[in-house]
Amino acid sequence: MYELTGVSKVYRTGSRTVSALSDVDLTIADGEWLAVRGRTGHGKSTLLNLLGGLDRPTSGQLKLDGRDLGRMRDAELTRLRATAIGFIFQTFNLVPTLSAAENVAAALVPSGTGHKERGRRVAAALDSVGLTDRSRHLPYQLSGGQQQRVAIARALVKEPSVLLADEPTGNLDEETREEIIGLMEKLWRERGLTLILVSHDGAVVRRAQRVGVMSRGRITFKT
Amino acid sequence: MFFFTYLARELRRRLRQAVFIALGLAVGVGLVVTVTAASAGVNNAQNGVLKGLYGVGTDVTVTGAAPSPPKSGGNASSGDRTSIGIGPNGAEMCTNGKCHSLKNGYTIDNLGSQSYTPIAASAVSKIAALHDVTAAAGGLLLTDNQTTISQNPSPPTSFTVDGTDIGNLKLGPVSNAAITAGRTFEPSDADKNVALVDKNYAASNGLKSGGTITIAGVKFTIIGLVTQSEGTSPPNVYIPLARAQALAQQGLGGGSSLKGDVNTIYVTAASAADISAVQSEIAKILPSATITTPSSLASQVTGSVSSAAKLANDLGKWLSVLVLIAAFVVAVLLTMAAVSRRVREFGTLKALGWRGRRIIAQVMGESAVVGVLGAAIGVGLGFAGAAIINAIAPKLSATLTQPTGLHVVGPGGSVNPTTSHTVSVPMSAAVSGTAILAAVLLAVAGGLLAGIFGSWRIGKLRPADALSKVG
Repeated sequence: MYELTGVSKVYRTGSRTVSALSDVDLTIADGEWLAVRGRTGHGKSTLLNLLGGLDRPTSGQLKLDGRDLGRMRDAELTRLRATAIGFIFQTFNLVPTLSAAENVAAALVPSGTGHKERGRRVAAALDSVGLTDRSRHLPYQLSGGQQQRVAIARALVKEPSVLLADEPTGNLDEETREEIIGLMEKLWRERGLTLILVSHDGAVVRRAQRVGVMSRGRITFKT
Repeated sequence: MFFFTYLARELRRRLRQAVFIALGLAVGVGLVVTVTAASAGVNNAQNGVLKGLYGVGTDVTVTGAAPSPPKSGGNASSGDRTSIGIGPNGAEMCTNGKCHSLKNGYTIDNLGSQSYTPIAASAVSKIAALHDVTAAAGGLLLTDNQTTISQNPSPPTSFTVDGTDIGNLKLGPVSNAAITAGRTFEPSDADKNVALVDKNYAASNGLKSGGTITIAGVKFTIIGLVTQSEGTSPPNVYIPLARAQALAQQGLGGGSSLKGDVNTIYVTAASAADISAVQSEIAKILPSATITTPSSLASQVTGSVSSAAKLANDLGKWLSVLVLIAAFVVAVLLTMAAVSRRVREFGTLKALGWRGRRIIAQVMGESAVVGVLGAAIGVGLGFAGAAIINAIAPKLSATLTQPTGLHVVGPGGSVNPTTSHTVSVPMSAAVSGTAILAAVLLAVAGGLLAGIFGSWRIGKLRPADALSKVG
């Protein structure tokens, strides 16, 4: 469970300071699907980075399962990302030189999973996204939808409790968008994930349990 | 292993760049190997000249001081004074003022030490007993001058003779000679009239093994022919030291006997580090003698071998260093540029939980492989460079100018003429194991240096910043 209390994030660029998040209070229950929408530059991605331990809040408390991410050492945050949090990006972010299976396996490298076990889990992850027959393909040999499926498999292969998705359908056509979001919903249900999804897309956001709107660094919820 | 899979794939993706960096390092390394090989070749050539002059294994050479100019009207030495001139009845030889005429066809044959004053042979054992000396052998470097009386005078002929300590053939000029016919000296030859003759001298004078050669009017049996390094300016004939001492005189003729004397002592020091100590110890025993060490001799060598050594040591080394630095800079810049293009990739890996150290190791691994590739190509280029030098390099000449020991009094006063030995030596650039090891280390160091600079950025990279650059 995430508990955010008075979380703010301020960026300094030269003499200018930009307040990306302002005094955000938020609780996200385990197994919840929260969608966050809002205009570009209003703090969606900043919120996701803080939730994923990719960045630290300037002030306030951000707790995951009782542990304050803002006070954790870098190594602890890295370990947390390696085991508990999965990321899905708008641009897929696959390593271009690695095959689909190798990209998925990259997520198991930090945990030191053995070769055999890694192979088994990679195969299972690719199977869960329907890409068993594409395991040896390089990213450029895959369609956008297939690449995002690989990215989903990569995010889930380590069996995280949290899945963070930043505009996961932003680079996909409408048909593929439905396919990917359907897949994510299925996996969310099957695995009991906490899914936090940032998107502009109303069709995607509507499928979430709860929708927050980011505006000027603050989050509000429709009642 | 995921590490190697990732590494191989990444290098394959950046193959052109990797090859470019490797080639850059290879050119630098190849140049270092080539220059080192050339430098070693020049040094070998120089050492060959030096070894040839005083024999393999000789560290220090002691020669008697140059003889003083003869005093006008006085005896040149304590012995009888003999002169040859033209009297009222033709050619005549005078000894202590008593003259007798010389018939046509009479040959005056004198074996003398012209260049050096004698040293008592007892000095050899004193030097051999020094703490830092492994071995010492005495020798007599002599010249045999033969003049035949004739109504149509022809210039005198001369050849060099080395009185060799046949109990110590590993020292002195004979140590550098290889038998091509017959045999070498044996201990039983010590008091026999036997000689070894230089093969080239024998060929040009119709001499052969088993034949005879006349030295100081005495027939010597030629027991063997020897071949010697081209760069040695070797003696023409070797005879046992005892026979040389018995027959030779000091000076051009009529000087004192050299019985019990030597004029050169060849010394082997216990180690190279002991040479200067040996030099000063000998100077105490023989204060007036000339003591020559390899370094002092090397400084006297001039000619293209000396110029080539300077070129290889100065210009070549600096050129190599500059090219190597340029290669390192190019490798660093290209690696940093490659890392910049992979910021998103590394940010993603950090988001996946990869530690910075693991990503740095990945980049360093890639750089190390490029470095090893550069080393391999560089060593190949080094061998090729050495082969090209060996194929096209002209023979080097080495000139050693030394005093003759003669004094000529002319209208302008007394001068001490010198003699120059110019020898042609082949240059053989050889790539040593040390050079290869150094090349590999240099190239890998270059690759790792590039990796370190590239990794420095990754270390500072915060995952959120990296991902924010995605778009």
